[in-house]
Amino acid sequence: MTLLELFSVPFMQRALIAAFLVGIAAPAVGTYIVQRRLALMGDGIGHVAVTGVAIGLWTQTSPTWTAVIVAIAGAVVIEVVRERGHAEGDVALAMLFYGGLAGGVFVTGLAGTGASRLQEFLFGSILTISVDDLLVTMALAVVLILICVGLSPQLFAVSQDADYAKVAGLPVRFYSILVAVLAALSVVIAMRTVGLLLVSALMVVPVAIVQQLTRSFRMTLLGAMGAGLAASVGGLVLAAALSRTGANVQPGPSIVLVALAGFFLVWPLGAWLRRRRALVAPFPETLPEEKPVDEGEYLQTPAELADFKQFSMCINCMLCYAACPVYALDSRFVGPAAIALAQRYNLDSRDEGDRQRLTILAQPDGVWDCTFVGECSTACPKGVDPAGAIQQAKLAAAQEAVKSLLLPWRSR
Amino acid sequence: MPAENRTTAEPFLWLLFSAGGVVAALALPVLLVLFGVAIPLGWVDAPDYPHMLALLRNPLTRLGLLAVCALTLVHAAHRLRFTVEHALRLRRHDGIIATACYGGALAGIAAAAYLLFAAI
Amino acid sequence: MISPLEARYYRRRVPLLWWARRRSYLTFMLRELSSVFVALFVAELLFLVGAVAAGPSAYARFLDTMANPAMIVLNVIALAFLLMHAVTFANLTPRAMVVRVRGRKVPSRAVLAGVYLGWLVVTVFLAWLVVS
Repeated sequence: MTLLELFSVPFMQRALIAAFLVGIAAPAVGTYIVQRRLALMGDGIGHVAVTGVAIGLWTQTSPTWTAVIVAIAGAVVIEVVRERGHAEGDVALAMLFYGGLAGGVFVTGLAGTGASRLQEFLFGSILTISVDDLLVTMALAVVLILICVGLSPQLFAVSQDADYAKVAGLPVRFYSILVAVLAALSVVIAMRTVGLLLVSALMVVPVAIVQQLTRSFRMTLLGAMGAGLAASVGGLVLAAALSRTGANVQPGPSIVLVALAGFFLVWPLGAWLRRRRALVAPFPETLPEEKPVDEGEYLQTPAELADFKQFSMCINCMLCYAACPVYALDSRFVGPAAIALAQRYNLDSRDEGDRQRLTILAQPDGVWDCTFVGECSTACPKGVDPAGAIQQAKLAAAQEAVKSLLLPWRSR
Repeated sequence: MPAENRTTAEPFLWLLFSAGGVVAALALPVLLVLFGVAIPLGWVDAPDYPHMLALLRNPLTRLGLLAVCALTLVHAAHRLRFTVEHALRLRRHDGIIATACYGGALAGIAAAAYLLFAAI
Repeated sequence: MISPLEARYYRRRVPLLWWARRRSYLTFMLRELSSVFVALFVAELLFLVGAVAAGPSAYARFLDTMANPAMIVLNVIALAFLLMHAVTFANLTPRAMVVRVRGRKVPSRAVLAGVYLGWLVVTVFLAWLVVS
């Protein structure tokens, strides 16, 4: 049958859905693991999870759920040992990993099922995933993706620089353990796809691929999810295509090999990009270039002056602050005169700092507290209309927010 | 003081609020005059059932009405949130009040979607 | 934008009913409260949809409920608030949005005229949709 017919068979469709979701979720967690330089943590958890699977097989309960429990316990232990930071931590971890793998195979033997059932979990068996397993995988994958993307600022802060995160007030312990638990869960959902021995590859290799091309965290997270998806689905399709020629290729290893092939393809591109970037100034341009003095002053037409003139008439009498009920209720509000002045500069044709100003104004204590009461404009003796300025600033800040959400690669 | 760059949903909520205000101001008055005053008082004949059913079954009407209801509900929720916080000085409890307001709006939107797309 | 320390400098106590003490603040509060009546009318619209979905007798019952004098009074009040919302929102639009055509700022009166014209067009269209 053709490839398309092959994919209309239910078990292949289930495999495709599982590969799709796991391919997105595992690298999302992997981004944080790689950031914390714990690229082998997935391997470690995978080894420990073998014991969990074995216990499940021995007690005739669902191996997936026992694997979840043991993997989470193992991940937390690994995280706690790592945090202690002693040199013996390495040895302790190594013993945990070997104990996990050996113990798992041993317990499977005790159960009498032998190594064949365990092999499904060691090397993946995406083609035999049942509907119940698929639903659990889907639910866990969605939860993982939502947490990894939704909590990305906090998780990034904790993964990148834990001391800074602690000083900034984040509960570092909680987030570190959360990352460990997320890693355990992604190991469990990936164990059906690529197997416990190769699970780290699906978490780490897509991240490595994308890090050849970009240094930005958000692009790494999104790109790794895309690369993982491509590798997962690509590997599955490759195994399916090869199976028609009579070979009996497992999807798990083919997914990993496709990912590695992707890495080797991207590697020269990454080298070229790095060489190009080194030619550009190493520091991002933070300040706009100023005109040298001997080129004279910035010229402006009367129409350009008329754009912002009204907002420049402020004499700092602060009557608007006295009239504003929002400011009276909460002094943290930036206030009408300040925003009118900011808008005066935003509208000035000679100015180039509007993005930075709008980023500050777009904070919760900035423009968003204002509810357009309008008393400030009524009270203003110079007709500055700060209320209008604030609404214009809100519109500009909202446009900035939408653009920075939809186009994160814009230069700062 | 350096600006902490906290990601906030406020810009998007404000955009939805503005859109809701525009939509409510444009579309709702005539409908309220018709269904609330003119038809009950007999100044205008009530549209007959087949006409209403055909009107509400039209996919464009459904989408338009859903958009109007959704945006208006978000507009009302946003305004109510700030009004309650400013009138009763409850800014401290913004988290709960915002969740209640927008949650209510979401419930209303879900009800509207169900009525417009599943029930009719 | 100021630190909590600075915020503890002298601040006048704000009375709980600060909005009742000046006419302009009271007008503002009423304008904000109009959103409640707007949401109320959306609920009425959804009841209408539900009634049409339930069948001709439900629709007839809905029309009878709307003809109830108490409902008419409620709807007239809601209409007053809805118009207040519409008019204030329209009048604030030129201040909030600076419209530029070919590099020149469009004067407020033109923006206002545009807004009201748009309102008229939508009103006529919707009235035609419902009544014809």
